[in-house]
Amino acid sequence: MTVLQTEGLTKVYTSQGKVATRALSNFSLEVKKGEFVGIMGPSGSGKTTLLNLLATIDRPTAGKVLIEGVDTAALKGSQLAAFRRRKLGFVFQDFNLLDTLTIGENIALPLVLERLAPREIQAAVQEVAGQLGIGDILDKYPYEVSGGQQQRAAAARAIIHRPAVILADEPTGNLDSRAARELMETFSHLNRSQGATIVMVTHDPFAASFCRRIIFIRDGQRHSELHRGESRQLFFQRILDALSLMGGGNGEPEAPGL
Amino acid sequence: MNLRRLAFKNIWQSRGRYLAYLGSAVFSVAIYFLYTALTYHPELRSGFYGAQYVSAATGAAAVVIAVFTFLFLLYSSAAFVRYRMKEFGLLSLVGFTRGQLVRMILWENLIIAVTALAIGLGAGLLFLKLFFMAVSALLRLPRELPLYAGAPVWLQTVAVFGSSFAVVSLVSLRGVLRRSVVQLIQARRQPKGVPSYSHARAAAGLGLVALGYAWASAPSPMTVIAGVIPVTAIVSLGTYLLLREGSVALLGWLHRSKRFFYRPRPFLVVSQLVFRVQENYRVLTAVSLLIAVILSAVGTAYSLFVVVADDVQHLMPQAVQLEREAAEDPGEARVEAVREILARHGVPLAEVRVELFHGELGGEEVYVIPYGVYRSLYRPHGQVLPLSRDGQGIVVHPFPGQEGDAPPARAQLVVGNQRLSLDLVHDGSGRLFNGAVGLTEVVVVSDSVFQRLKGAQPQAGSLSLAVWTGPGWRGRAMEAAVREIAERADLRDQVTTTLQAYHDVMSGFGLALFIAVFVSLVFFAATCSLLYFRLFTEVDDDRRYFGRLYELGVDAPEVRRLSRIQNGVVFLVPFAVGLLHSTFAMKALSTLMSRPVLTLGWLVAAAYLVIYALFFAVTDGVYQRAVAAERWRPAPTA
Repeated sequence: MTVLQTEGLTKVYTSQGKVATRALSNFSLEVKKGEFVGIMGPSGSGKTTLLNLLATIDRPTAGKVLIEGVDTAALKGSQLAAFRRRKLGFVFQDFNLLDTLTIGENIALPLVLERLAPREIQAAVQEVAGQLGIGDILDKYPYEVSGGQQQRAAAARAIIHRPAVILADEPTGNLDSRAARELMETFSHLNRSQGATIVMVTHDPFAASFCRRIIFIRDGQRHSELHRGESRQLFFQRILDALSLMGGGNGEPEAPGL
Repeated sequence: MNLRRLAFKNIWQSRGRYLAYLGSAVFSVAIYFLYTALTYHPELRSGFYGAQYVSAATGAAAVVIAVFTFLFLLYSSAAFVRYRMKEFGLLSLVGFTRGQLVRMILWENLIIAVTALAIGLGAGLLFLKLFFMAVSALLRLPRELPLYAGAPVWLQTVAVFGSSFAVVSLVSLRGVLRRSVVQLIQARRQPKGVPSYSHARAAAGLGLVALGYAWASAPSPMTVIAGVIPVTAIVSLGTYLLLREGSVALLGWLHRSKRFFYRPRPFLVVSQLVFRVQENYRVLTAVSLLIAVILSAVGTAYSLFVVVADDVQHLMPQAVQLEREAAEDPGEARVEAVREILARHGVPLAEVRVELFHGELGGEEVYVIPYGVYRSLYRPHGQVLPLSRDGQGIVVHPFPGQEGDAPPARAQLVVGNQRLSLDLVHDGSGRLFNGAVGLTEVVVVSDSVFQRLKGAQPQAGSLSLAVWTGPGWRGRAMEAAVREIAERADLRDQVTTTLQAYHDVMSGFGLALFIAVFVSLVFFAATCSLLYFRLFTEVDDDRRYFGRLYELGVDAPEVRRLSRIQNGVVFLVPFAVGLLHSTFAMKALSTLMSRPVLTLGWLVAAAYLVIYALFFAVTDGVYQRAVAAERWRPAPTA
């Protein structure tokens, strides 16, 4: 079943009405339920633009984003907010936890917005936090815990309401290698055991090697695609090859700890 | 780019944050300038009779403004520096020397000070004419005060505020220089934490405020007067403790009550308030106390104004009263003249001719008048008592409430060589006559008894008045008539009018009210500035917070509502607390003036609430624009 689909997605930014920049051009993508898709590309290739469009926090210049068959362009204002709340889960590079809420409250937020009963909410928080190994820090504030713990809390918040798709934007960008590996193993686990659909934008080949499929994007256009075989190590090597083949000044340091 | 340019740029970039601070400083400078101009005005110092005290009053008000503004600048500048510690730390990190940092900060302060002084003096100069017109009208000066802004005015204003700014910037520099680079960088991001709650402190706060309230509500004026300073101190300390412990306890309780908390709005609003309780309760205490002071001070001045205006009618119950020697020809000519003036201006008053006999009642000097005259004289709160038979007399007391515990029911009245025994009724509903005549007790006897006494009374022992009586003691016609009487040399010493007395009193108390309102506006501007600053110190954090909420599926209008609720709490709570405090202050004032003035206090509070609400609307508007949806996510760079 197709969960996420884009058709001819195009985004043009005009600055001061003069120079038009084509950030994304006629981009098509189809993600089936239970897939773990990575989107890679050099800086400025349009990755973030694509993710903002998928996340419905930006509007395309042309083309469509369909989530579970619903055309998101047809949704207005609060409908769109509610749709985003229910169907999407987010994990961002800078964690995007709310500083003023405890870790537990941050995780609970999507369910609170859905007006679930307090008891149900707390049960769900305990369950998800247990799965992600952060059950003992629920009463702490984000500034009191490590980056890895914050990111796992963000992941817990992204999955607690069982969204159609989890969108991750450079989730390992601010983590050290060990925390990055733990987070990617968590994603992988969620994907395999719960059938969670994940779309992750990254330029980290190590993180990308946990995906099942990788779409390369360059200059706002779809460039190529890789599918993972059995071995993650081998897949990692193929990703590196593809990146160097694509060029585009992938100057970021390679992730250690392979 | 040199340091001066950098300083300009820094200020320009955070102009939103400086706006209220600058506005408040400008306002202080302008008001100080106006008051100083009045203080030094040569004509007020020498020219107008009875206006000498104006200089003293405005001079004192200027001192209050200067001291308060200094404290406000000190507080605000400390807050600015705290907010910018990280920036200073980063500048040090990239190689700014301490000397360069000092010069940059001094440049910034100089720019702010010069701007505030320039705009403040400009605004003062702009409103000087209007201010003098208002003061001249209030004081009822015979002609308008000429414009004056001599060198001493400029020098004093610049010196006072210049040195304030200088001291404040040195103090803020000290705060920066005392910290190491790493302390600077970490200063602001230190966890805020929730202050601990203590039952003892909460109980102490509650006890102090209750004690202050009880003291202010004491029935005896002496107790109230003795309490003015201690009650202010007690209630201030109590407010601090109560707001601190109260907000921690209340928010903690809301946070823990799952059924309330786990709903979208409480969840987001309460958690924000919990997170910021540390900063909030301090500002809320300061603002509450300032509002309490403002409302109490202006409430008191306004009450005095109203009460004194009311008192004038008791002191001068007759609209126009002419005293004359009995059966004297020039006297009759004067009566004619007044009657003609009043008729020409169309003043609707009734003329009453009164003959007062000197007499003694139980050994006390009294005036005696017939019942017919008593009945026809108007008094603002007067109640005409019935007189049923000749053997009765009505005693009109000039000082109601001070007749003694048991006024005699029967006494001997002696007039000339006649003496008669009267059953007495007592009238405490106000004096019958203006000025000195009204200070003596008046005995009212029946018309026939009065006729009998007339034969016995030697002419020299009587006083003759012409009175124009009625409720219409003011109005345009009356103004014109009173002015004409005052211009007549043969009339003005013999005639007293309610209106003239009213004007005399009003020019004093009107000025007091005028000064109180302006000083309170300076306080009010600073109060508003504190609140503005409270909201804007964290506007960047807030913008990020709202952006994240939006990404998580809270729509933009709801985000606006959430932020408005939070701002509303920060604005409304201190006003409510200040209003409560000032209500007890007005209660104490009621005791002192022995009449209720609570409603007058609330009227003042209502007026301030209107300005306050306007300020809230503006501040919230600016805030909403600063955290608006367009700024949640920076557009990707091309």
